Amino acid sequence: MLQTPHLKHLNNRLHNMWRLLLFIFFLAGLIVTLVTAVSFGAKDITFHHVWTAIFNYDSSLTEQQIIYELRLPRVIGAAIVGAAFAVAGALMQGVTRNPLADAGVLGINAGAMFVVTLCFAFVPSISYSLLMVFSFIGAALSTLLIFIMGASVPGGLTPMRLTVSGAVIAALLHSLSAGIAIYFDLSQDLAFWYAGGVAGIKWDQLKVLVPVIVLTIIWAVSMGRSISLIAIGEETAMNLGIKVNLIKLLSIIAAVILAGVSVSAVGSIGFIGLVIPHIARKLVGSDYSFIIPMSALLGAILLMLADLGARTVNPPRELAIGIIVAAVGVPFFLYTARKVGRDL
Amino acid sequence: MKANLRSSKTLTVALALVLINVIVILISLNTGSLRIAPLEVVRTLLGFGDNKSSLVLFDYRLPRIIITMLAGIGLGISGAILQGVSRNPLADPGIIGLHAGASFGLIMFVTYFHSLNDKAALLIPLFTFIGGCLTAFIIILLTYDRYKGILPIRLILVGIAIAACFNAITLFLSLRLDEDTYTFASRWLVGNVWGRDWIHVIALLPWIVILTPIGILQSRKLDALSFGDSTAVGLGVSVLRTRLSMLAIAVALSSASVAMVGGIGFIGLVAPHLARRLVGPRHQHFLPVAGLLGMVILVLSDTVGRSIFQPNAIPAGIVVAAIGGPYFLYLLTKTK
Amino acid sequence: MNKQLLMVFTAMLLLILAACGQTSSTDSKASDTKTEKDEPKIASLSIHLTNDLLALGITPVGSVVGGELNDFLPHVKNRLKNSTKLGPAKDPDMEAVIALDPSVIYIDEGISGEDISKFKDIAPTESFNLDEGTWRDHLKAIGKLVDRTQEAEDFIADYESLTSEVKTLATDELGENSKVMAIRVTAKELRVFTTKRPLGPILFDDLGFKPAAGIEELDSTQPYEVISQEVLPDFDADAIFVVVNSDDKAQTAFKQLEESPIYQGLNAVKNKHVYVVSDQPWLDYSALGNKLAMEEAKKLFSK
Repeated sequence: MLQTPHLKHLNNRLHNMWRLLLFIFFLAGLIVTLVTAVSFGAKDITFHHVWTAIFNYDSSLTEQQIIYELRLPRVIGAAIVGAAFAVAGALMQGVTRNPLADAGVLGINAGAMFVVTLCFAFVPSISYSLLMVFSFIGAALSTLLIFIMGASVPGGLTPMRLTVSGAVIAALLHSLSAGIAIYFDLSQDLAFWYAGGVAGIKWDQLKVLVPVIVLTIIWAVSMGRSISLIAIGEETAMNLGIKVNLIKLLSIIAAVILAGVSVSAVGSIGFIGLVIPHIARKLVGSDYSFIIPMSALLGAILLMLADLGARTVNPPRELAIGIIVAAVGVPFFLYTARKVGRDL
Repeated sequence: MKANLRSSKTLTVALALVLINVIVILISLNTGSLRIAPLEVVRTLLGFGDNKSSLVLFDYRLPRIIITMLAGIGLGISGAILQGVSRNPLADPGIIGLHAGASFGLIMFVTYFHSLNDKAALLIPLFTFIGGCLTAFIIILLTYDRYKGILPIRLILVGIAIAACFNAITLFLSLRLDEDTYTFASRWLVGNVWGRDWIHVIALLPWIVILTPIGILQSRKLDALSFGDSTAVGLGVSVLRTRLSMLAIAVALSSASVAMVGGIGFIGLVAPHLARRLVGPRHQHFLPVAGLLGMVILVLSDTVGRSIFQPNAIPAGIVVAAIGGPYFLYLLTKTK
Repeated sequence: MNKQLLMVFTAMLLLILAACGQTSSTDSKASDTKTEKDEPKIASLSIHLTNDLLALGITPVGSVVGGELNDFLPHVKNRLKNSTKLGPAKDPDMEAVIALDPSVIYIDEGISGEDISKFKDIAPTESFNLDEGTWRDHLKAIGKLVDRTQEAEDFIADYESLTSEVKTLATDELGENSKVMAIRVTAKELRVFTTKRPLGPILFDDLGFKPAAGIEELDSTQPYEVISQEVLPDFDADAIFVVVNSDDKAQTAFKQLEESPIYQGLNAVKNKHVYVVSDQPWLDYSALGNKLAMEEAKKLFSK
């Protein structure tokens, strides 16, 4: 169809409206999921209580206490961490031009877990904020390792080399973490960490987690345009005046922050960063300034639902959330991989 | 002339490896809570030991070491075949996801049979083989392109993700069984030599002993494949059939091996590379050497894991990863 | 170059081999000079059976260790100073058992029953079903085997009189027909104990407390069930026993529980009828374990 300037203008406006609608839709979805997730649990609580607990908190009523003290923190935690992992995945995929990149696959989570394990072994009564810092350091270190390896080779870091190094480093660090856990008899505590759990999230952790993650995501969105151009082609981006290496570095730092602090809160949860960006891309196109926020929304919804599932599948026992996410992510991933594999 | 030189070099290397293996095995037979001097070990093996030593050696240490030996061979050769078939020097049954598929098969076995130690254990490698085939099938489905075949990069990327999938499914299923099974499954995933009875030896033995020679006999076809599909066809090799049958052998070898020793990665990667560096690129030379190297690595790692970290035994897989991981990363900086 | 490497490698291995050879031969010399003992050399493959033996005044030459601790239980550790550790109960170190050369082996049918033939290859084996009867029955059975039946009877009688003392003290403090529950806080779970051992018998049978609402409905084939904090108030207990491990993680988890408003709203907490105990000896279902637990209970209710 011939696009005269007039039609093109209309077309753009249509796209923008559609995107806006999608965002509003999923934002509403987020709120609905939040309320639903908070309404369900081991104890039956009427919707009325849920409503009043959120808006008119009466701390003397047990039901409301349950909502406020037990469910709300973990659901909010799930949402914020889900968003973090999803955005980290989107950033990695954009910057490394590898559609199968993910914080778990690239070994970032494994690095964080490794340092967390060391902390548990040598400093058992470490405070949460310090743990978060160490977790971030671990994530940063493993990322550094991968990139140093890549940079030291002529030819640079092809997606394959990056992914394979990431996978190998992940496997290596997982093994070492397991070894340390076995040697220092930490297995009991760590087993739950490895599979990931939001159950332990408290309000004080959220007080630090939420601002850090929200600010980082906003920062990531601000780089969205540049990332989109890099994703098309590095030379194109350079010709358009983008400081490619700087943006790449900053994006990776953002991804590491997001993944690192999230792992310290909930352990290692993979797949979110792998799967969500693809869905987001299908919905809002290839501009990262839209993909990133959409991924955040979708990631939040996914993890809240997974947490709900973990709690309600086999009450009162809790299933490890990482496994549920994988169980849900697997069929979806297989479908995506088929298509993506063709494009590689 | 050169061919003869290569052959005699291979023989030397092979003999040296066998010697090293014997020594490592003797050391391994020596380690454990009951101290048995090496000379005593030899006497006991020949039937002249006292009751205690005989009991420990024959009922506890020998089966475990034989399993480790067999699995080491299986993993080494499986990796070598995989690398040849996919023309991908970074292919390893663990990275590609075959181990994860095998673990899925194992959990299916446990779900149905409940116990890992009775007569039904003979079927374990069969279940893991089916699991491995399932994974292989899915991977091929996802990566095969009619025009380009299976690109190495695609294979690795998809394999890694598939491995993550099946690992998660396995853990999920094991959690639903009971806590002990979950602990067993998570240790398995790290690579833990758990097979220790003679029944496990008998379960594993036929797979390794039959498939290894078959694999080695196909050396010339594997050589032909490595030159490129069109060259291979020119040499009279039916490419598709060879690929599929060799793939099946590789899957069978690795699945049977990990059935008894847990998901140990890296051996299938490192052993073939080292072998090739020692004796050259012809399969009939480096395939058996890869097997021998695999055996050395695994037995050594298991022994180290059991003895150095007393009182807690570290699973062999962790030791292998600690050595194999860095070496692989080093390899990565050297290739392509 | 590669050949040289191989030779160096081989040489190293030979050296290690020689070194191993040395130490082993001195070890075997030491074992030859051991003298025979009069008492039966018992190897115990269950931590509870070990403690039953200790209650009768017999020290086993070897015993398995507690799984989580990887060591002997703290309340009996110094009595087992000279006993060999045989690994965790669920995965015992068979070689160590063989090396020990015991005259008889005691196993827990539930844990090691499947492998009984392996044990019989080493030494005559006695198997005990710890789910059948109470620890008193186990104690008496062991007493018969080691010819200490009188000690067993005496021990049981002592326990019974101690129990009635504690019962009176408890009733004074809590009133008649008080409803009791026992929970345990770990780093990742909140567990409530059922009527099965180890805590069911001592609380509900020996001390005669009534189980709180819903306890009897729990799966009594399991020692505990995992619950969510949400349903804690539903049990409506008058008194709560809280088992907290001595390690840091568990202590932190318990502190967090104490700070939660749901916990603070419980009746038992408001009336200060919460009794915090350590996991050992309370979770040790054996003669010795129960006796030590009962002595602790006496102190708890005397305050």
